[in-house]
Amino acid sequence: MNSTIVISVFATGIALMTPVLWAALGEAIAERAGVLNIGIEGVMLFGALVCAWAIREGAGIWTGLLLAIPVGAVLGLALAYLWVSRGADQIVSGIIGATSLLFDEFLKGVGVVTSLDEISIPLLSDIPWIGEIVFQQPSVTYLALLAAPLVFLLLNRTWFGLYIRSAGEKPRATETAGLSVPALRYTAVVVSCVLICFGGASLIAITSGGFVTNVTAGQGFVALAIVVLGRWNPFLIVGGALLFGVSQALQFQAQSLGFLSSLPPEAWLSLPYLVTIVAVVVAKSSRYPNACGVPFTPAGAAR
Amino acid sequence: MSGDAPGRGLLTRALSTPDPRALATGVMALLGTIVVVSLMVAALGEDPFAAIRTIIEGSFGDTTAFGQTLMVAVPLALCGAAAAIPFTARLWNVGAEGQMHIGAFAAVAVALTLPALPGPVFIPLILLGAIVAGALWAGLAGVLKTAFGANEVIVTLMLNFVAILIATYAITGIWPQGVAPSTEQVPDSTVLPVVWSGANVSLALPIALAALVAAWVLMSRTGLGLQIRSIGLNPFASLMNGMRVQTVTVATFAIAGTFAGLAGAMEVIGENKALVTNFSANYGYLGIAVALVARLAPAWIFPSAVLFAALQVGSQSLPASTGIPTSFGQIIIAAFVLGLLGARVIRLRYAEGAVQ
Repeated sequence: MNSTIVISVFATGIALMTPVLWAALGEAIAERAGVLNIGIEGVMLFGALVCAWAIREGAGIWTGLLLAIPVGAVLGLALAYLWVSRGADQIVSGIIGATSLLFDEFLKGVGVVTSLDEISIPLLSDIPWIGEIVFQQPSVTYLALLAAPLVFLLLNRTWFGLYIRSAGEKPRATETAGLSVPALRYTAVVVSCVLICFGGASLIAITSGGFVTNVTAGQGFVALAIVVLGRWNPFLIVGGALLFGVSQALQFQAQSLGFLSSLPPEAWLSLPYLVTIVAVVVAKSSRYPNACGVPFTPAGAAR
Repeated sequence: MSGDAPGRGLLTRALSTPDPRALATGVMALLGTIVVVSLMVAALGEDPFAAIRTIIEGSFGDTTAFGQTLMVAVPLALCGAAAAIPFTARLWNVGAEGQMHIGAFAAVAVALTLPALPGPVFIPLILLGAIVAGALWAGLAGVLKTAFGANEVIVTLMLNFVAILIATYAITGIWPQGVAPSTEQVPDSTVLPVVWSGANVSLALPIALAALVAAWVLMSRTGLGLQIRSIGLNPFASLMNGMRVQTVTVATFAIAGTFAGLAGAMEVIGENKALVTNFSANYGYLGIAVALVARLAPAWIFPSAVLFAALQVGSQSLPASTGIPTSFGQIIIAAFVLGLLGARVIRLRYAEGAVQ
């Protein structure tokens, strides 16, 4: 493996991790608030669909990306209504939400031929190795890398983050302190779905394949695994997402990998999924937020 | 899950739901779905009544259509059982799609590698191979969960993608059939015989029904079934009562895999006579919805599967008689299940604080 291959694999890997990173950051917020959002895949699909549709209708790529934000918010409100207000089983409804990938049959084949250009950051991109790997990426990738510390600050250095985490650990105590658990969870789910939906849209923006059936190919569930692997810490989540991106990027260099080049393409395609399984197995000591996935009934509310 | 009341007939008990009001709410959700979907159809500028009539006629209208509905209901029902049994133990097996592909892979492997045998010997061998393969594939998720605490939702889903790629490799790499998106054809002696020629219904239907009866016996008449239900209600109490929760967990996954594997095999040695790309129209995922609508009761799985199959088959005639695309059937299904969730018909008991 010579240096060009290594650089290419990592550079492609960082670009490919972008959608998963957005989704995992969003998911971390929801899970910290006590909502296990298994519907990531479905929300990502909607984001991808909206972005592809906007581009086909002649809008710019960034219009498509920005359009995913209100769509994510609406989906977040709908999901929050099911989970928070109706107390629907989060795992079951999340699974169903995810299988709204059935929807995409209806709308597949929205072709897109453009994708975001890579932006070389002056000076930094001239650094050998690192420059070529990190600083020649599409803008959504830089934004995702910037979003990670912001989500960390939001969760760990603000009052809002503290409230949210308390709602995910011991909602009864949060309520006793005079805070509204449903309001906190609503906010968290909406913010979470906005990030996830944006991630889905970025999938369209960084590749030029357009919207095809099952375009997300399980990335929403990969994001779910990355959150566990990253222990709900945005910085570790970046590492987990990179692992996934690189294992996905390897297939494009398979021909140059000596004796490994004889492996069938299906083996390379399955690598990211196998890596994800290994990651969940290795992350066995991760502990979910205590109240994650458990519906909360406010005191005195009759259901 | 048990709604058993003493003194009632076996059939009544088999079909009893825990809460009769749930049935009423379910009907309400169905009516609500019809209203919402009709509005969507009207918004598309089409006649909703014509659409409903098309779906009903296209799925139950004549013998051929009815037979087609039944044959689609077979994999849906088996995948429904593959979801319902582990869900009862609150184990989230969402891997029926992959277990089905592995079953199909095993079936085609057995059919193409063994020397020619007469059908009555060959077919059981193929089904057995698929059942074992499905059980091992699903059991892997159970082992990873019990040994490493790996979240089964993630593991089973990831295994789906791997299994589909393995099936793809069988098509492109191991037994390719020219450029066709399928493997070589299986020998004629392995193809399931047709038992109702008017409707083109094959032996797959009686086999599936027998499997569902076995599922009902397992869940309501055996010790293992009792343990599965008990773990779903309270894993900790089950452990305190001396149940081997970990063993039962692995066994539950393996049992689920047998049903999905069987479904995959019967698709290979059915009308396709080969392992075909995209042979599963998301049956594995739809099976989850089938199981939920049946409220995880084995006796209700087949009726539930017929409902979903009718939507699937019936909506295929939509484009011809109206301007609505085929995939509208999928939207109806999604709307129906979301309606049931919102109406809280689908609501599984929660073990306080337990997530994984």
